[in-house]
Amino acid sequence: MASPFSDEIHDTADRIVRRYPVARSALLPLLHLVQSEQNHITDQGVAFCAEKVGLTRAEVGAVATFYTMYKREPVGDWLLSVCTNPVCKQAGGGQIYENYKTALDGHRDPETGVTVEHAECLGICDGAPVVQVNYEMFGPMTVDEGDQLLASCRAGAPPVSPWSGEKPPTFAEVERDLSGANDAWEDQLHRAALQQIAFDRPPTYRTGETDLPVTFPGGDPAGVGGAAFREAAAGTVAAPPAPTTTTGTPEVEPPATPEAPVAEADESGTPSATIDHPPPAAEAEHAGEGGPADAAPDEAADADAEAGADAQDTDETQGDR
Amino acid sequence: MGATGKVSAMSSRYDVEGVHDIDVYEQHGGYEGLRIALERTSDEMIQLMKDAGVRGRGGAGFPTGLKWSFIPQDTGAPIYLVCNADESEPGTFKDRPLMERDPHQLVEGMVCSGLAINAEYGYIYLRGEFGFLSRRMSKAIAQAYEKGYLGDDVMGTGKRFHLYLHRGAAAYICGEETALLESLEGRRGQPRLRPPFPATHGLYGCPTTVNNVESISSLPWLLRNGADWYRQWGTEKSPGPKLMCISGDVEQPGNHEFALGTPISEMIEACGGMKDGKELAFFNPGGSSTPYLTPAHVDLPYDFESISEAGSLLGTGALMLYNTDRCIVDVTLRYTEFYEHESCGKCTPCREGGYWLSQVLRRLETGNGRPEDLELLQDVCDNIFGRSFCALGDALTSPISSGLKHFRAEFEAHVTEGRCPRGVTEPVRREDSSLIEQPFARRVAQDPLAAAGLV
Repeated sequence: MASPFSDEIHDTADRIVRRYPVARSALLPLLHLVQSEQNHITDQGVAFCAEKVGLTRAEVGAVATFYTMYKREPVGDWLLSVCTNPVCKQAGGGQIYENYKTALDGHRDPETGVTVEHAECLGICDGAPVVQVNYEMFGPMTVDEGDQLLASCRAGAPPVSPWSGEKPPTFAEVERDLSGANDAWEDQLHRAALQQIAFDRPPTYRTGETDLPVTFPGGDPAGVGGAAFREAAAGTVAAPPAPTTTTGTPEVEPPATPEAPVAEADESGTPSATIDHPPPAAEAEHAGEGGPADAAPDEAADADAEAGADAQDTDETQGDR
Repeated sequence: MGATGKVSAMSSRYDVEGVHDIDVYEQHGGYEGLRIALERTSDEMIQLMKDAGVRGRGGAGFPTGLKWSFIPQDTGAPIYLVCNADESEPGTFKDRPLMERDPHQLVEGMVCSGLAINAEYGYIYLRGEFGFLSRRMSKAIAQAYEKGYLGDDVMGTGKRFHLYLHRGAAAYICGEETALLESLEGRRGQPRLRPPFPATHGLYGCPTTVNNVESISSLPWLLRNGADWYRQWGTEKSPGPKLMCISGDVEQPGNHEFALGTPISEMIEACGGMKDGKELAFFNPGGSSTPYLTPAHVDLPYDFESISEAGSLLGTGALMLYNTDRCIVDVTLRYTEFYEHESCGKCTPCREGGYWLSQVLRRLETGNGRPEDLELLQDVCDNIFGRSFCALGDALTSPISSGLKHFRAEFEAHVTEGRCPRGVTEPVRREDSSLIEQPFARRVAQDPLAAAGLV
């Protein structure tokens, strides 16, 4: 099955992962990235992120379902979020939200895909009542103006925001921006990530969803930390670089081989049994090559809604500990 | 005791045309604080923060300089500076305007604060729903890199500071510092058990400090003007200016800067007074998590100690004012629904308590309340308060407990009249409210396992 994501997306995702000393930190940005491509989080998107950061799909599903901005139903080009916290609700937000639901006969316009949701406080109470169009602020407004805002979105042409002075970008555009893909100083962060893993006591990676600080020194196999794993295995771990020695973009090597992390884990006395997910060996190697056509393996078909549910269970157990 | 009243300190560049651009920012004193910071030692800057008496502006009011001094410097691990820009406490809108109107103030603050604690890597955790801010901060950071204020060699001094802009994805709990770190590590935003504290085991298990946008942004000002400049405002224990968010039933709600210690009534006057001349009925002094206060409290000086003595908290400086048309039960219900939605689900008291408390409040507001409901609310609150990992559980109970304390008669009237006495919510008759009557029995009845006789 061909990957639903283009080579460019694979490449962008790999570059985002390499900014962080620990690959998993890229998960929230990557979920924004796949959402910008498919207008919601799909099973394919979950599988894609899992592959890029070296997690199981269940672990990614657990994260994706935790955060409100990751949508489980497709969103059209325009998402309207109506604040219904007390200050906005009393200023007319409650009525605006009711009108929207009536106008769309639900939360989504089947024709245009325009989607409406209620939001918790949007941090702009002096503009009450506030409606966001793709996270761009509009308000204060009368109930009539609120209706007009919806109408303009359904016509595909929302107005300029009085707060930013800009027209809201489409949902895909804003989600791509939130992934950090447009951040211009990316090369600097690639260098920063390599510096961080070279400390005597580098950033550590906790395995599993527990509070126990079970860690791998040197980050994790899927991220740039993988370089430290390999060097440690080869006995060549260097002291932290002097501040001025790291100039130019360092070459980022392909991610770790499966042997390296295990060897390192044993040597440092960390039981390798604490790896509760498979090391992202083969998949990660693909990622390093930049855009395999078969990113979604066959199992992706059953990658399933259950991923989220499984993870929920794990977390419940944890919460009751 | 310093001066009180309206001030223009950290917000003084807000109205400068185009100050979000680095060239304009430099013309208005921008990055001068950084030049000074590069000549100071870490200890000097921490001492400066202590001398000024800066207290954390994210809600807890913990002294920032003291927090910085907890960072161990000899662990061989990188030290991280994390900026909490996940502003989502209901009623709070001070960090957003700061980043929107004067974004370089935060960038400069990050570099200076990083130098103060010897952190070479900084992360700004920005609330995901701030779409415009994401673009604005991204541009500001890119400009600062171009000009050499960030990078491996900050302004040619050989000192290093790299800055990440990391966007969240909407979860109020990520404003809690350990939940924020979890989220930054790519996990569900659930608070961590403390100790160990972030100062020793924070981001990636390394020494970390997490500070609010406003706290971090204050350092460049101190470097340029000194601790006495900061102490010219406010009280002995609560010095300095405060960015205030004033909203609700006032004529001109908005973001204003006041000296700490300014009487609340003066702040209301500065916003044009109560809207349409209506009377103040109740207010939250610092966001929805801070217990309600009454009109009897409006002459209190707005500082950490006075608000705390009155039984509430200064919180984030979000003054939310409600007039006599508003129903306290309705407002409390909306707050409770907010916390119910935002509970991360880790701790049983908060996760389950929010669910049940909203049921009872909804029952009251729709005219189906029972006399024993008031005791029930208080009892559930008492079983949540102090029994959760983080402060969200406590925050969940504060509108209810303080509402019952100050406005018990309002709650009782909902029961005796069988409706909202102010007519805010239409009464719902019992046949429509079966869900709120016996929710547990209904849940069991709908459970497929129960239906199959398996439980």
